[in-house]
Amino acid sequence: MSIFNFNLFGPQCQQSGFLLLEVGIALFVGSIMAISLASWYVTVVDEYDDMIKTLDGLLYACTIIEYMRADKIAIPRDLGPNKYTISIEHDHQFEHFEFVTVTVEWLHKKIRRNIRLSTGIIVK
Amino acid sequence: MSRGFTLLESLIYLSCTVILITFCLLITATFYSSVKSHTDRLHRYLDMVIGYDHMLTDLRHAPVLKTGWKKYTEHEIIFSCPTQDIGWLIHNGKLTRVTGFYNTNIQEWPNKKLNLAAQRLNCLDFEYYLIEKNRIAGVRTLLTVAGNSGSYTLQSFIACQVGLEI
Repeated sequence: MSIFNFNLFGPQCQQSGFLLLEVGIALFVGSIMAISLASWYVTVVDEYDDMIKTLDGLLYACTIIEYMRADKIAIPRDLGPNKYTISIEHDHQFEHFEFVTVTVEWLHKKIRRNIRLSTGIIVK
Repeated sequence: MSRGFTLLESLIYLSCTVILITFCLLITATFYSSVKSHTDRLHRYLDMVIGYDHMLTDLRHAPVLKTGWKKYTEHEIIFSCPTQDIGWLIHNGKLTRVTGFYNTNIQEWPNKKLNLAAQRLNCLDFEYYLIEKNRIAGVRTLLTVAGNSGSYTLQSFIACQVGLEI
């Protein structure tokens, strides 16, 4: 049955409208497109956030290493509360030199991510 | 008997189409602006990281003694290197590296060369980390950019030459 089965100016004329199946298919296709667009949006935003967190983590690790260089001790300085967890492994220790590996960890969508930087520090 | 659409039917169809297209455009515009804002944020962040990286290379070779620093204010640094003087500041919203000779008596660069290190930065702050009265061990840098969705600050620390000497 047509959704426009009336005519203001002429005699009544039976006209076929959309079938329920057609409307259903159109809705299905529209929903798929909307879901694709939304998932694309979520993915892009998530990727950007991940990249920024990674860059931030990298700089945080660099800052920790730089402070150790300035202080001449292979112990990380407390830089206040932040979203990163830091750990240090002392790989090799010499009299005035240490090889250390700084690991910065953070959570991204409940997945633990990390950056590991290995470097040498001149110590007192 | 076949016939075309009546004017009323056409108008209703047209209205539906216009509403649908407007709705789609609104959703797309919202998504697009949001993604653009994130892209902008990432680009500005990358600018800051590039700026930091450039400064790191220079400050590594900065003199340990304060006497080797010709200027060390909150927003500008100038220090002497064996061949020339090097300065870092924000000039016209860009992180700029200045090289040449800085005359401390007249507080000017008689001859200088400006190099663009990073764009779209709004503020550069320095904090000096002294280990003794006259020795600068490192510089804490705060780079700030103002974006459409707020400003971002990148805090970092650069150890000067003192960290490389036994």
